[in-house]
Amino acid sequence: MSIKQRLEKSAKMLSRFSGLLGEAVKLLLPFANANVFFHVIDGNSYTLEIRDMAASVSEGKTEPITLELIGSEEHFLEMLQGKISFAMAWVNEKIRVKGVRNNLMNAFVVGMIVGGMG
Amino acid sequence: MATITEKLAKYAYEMKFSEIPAKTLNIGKMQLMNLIATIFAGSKTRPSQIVLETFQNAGGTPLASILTTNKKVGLDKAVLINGVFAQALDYEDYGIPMHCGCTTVPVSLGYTEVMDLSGKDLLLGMILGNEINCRIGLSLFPSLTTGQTMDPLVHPISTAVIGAKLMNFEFEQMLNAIGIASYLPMYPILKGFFGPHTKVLTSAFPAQNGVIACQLAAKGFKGSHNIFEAPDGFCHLMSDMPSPERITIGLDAEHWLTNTISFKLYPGCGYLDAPLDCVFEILEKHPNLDPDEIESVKVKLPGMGTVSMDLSHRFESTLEGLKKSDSSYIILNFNVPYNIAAALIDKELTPRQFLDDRIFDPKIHELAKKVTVETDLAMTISIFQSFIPKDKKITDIKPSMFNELIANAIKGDFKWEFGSKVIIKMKTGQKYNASTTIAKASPGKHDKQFILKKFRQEAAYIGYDSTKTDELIKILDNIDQYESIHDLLNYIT
Repeated sequence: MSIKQRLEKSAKMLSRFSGLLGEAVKLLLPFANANVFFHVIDGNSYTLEIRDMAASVSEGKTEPITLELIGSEEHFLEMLQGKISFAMAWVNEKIRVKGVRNNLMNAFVVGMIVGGMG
Repeated sequence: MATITEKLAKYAYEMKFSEIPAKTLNIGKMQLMNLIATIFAGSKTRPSQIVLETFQNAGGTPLASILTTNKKVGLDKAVLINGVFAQALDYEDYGIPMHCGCTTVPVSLGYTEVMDLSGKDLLLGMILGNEINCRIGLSLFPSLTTGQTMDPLVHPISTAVIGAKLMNFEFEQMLNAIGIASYLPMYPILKGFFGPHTKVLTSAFPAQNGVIACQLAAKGFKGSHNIFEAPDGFCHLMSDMPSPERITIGLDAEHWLTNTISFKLYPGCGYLDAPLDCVFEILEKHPNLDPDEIESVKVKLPGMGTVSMDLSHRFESTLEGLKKSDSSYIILNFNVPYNIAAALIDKELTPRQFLDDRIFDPKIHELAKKVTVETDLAMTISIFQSFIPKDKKITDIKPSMFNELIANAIKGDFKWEFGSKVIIKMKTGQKYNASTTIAKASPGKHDKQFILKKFRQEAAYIGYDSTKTDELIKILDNIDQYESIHDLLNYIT
């Protein structure tokens, strides 16, 4: 499965998560409305657009970017397939986050969901 | 209009022991007993011993006791050393949303001893400190530093407030103590938190800063009286989603965040409590379960647990990684597979499982490789349920209701629904499983018998006989009846 297909599956998961929690999710998750940019350094990049916790995927970079994750296609696939969590990918320097201090918590939550929580 | 600092100072200044409800007081007594057991256990660790060797002869007037030793040092160093003992095994307690007793107990013990105060004062200081910690912590939530990594931001402030209260400061001095301490947070760096000895300084050094803030305020040193809500103030700089108004919600004698405290029955991060409860439930039913015959172990946890564990999931958690020059047992306090495997092999999970002979035992690490950890969506959602009234569904909740939910939850019977499920599959195909929605010593259960069991276990670990332990338990159970804590100190120093 390609990164795009994986991300589309994650978008459905995100919407399901939102459906289960309703607006309560916005209490805790700062990315209820966000553009998450998957910057693939050796392949096509994608943006996961989240609006009221309903998500869709588009190719390329859709401004304004809220959160940018940077890594190789291999490492993104590892994460999206749930073989490695975002947190593990980050501490082991497989995936970087732009602007660590401000974005890291958002990245953990996004990573947990796109990595196949369920 | 009063600032948040002024409202908080007034709350602390006016709080009376007689206003603390019986339920909260009982939790405070459990916290004291649990923390002393934790200090007994933590005092034996290598980083604790290094800190003791380094500071036991520090200058200043030796007024305050270093627990488990017969030594006294200046109050700031006693708070530092006892605080390190308290957090050395990550074995203490946590409230919503951060650790509390690792600082509030050693600090209150120190000031109560130095000021020659009573058992009631000791409990008042602890409970006030818990309230200050959790309120300020909630104002920063959600943030990257939720949980124990929030301690170094907030614990200087709770320490200063405890000191100001027990030293009977004037209102103006209390305000300055808060303002000065809020200027002295320390920011946690995850790389130093997960693995090396530095993690044991997480709360203890900031607490020392709080003592210093209090000493300065006593002499008229000034701190900001508007430190929390200002755009360039504490909350906005420490969190990306600050809510300073939460500090003062339900700031009265009806709302007690102390009631949210969970006690740890095993060394390690809080998300280990529920899965280890499950493992011991299985072992109780099947005491002869042979770890050599285990094919796999599956652990299901809420997302908060798995994200925290994954952050610590570095190669230092492996047998080879532990041999790295900057690694230590501390990394294993976050590692679910190691703890589950050690519990299944040793039939216990105590400080002994973090000594060199156990952490370097290849057999434990081989079994740990068979343990997988999964995020469970239903359990993740259940955590939200901890704050939602029974007559409401989660989908009824709007973001604007958060503060009200928190206030109602801590006023009523708060339950901390951080559950787990453990499934052990044997090579024969036989399966054993257990699940829980609330850990044994968390809000919703808070079963004192387990704290007593832990207390006896750790007292024995440092060489107390059962008679001495029983006498100590009697003092702790009735500490609010003592005009002085010297009897208690005689037993624990």
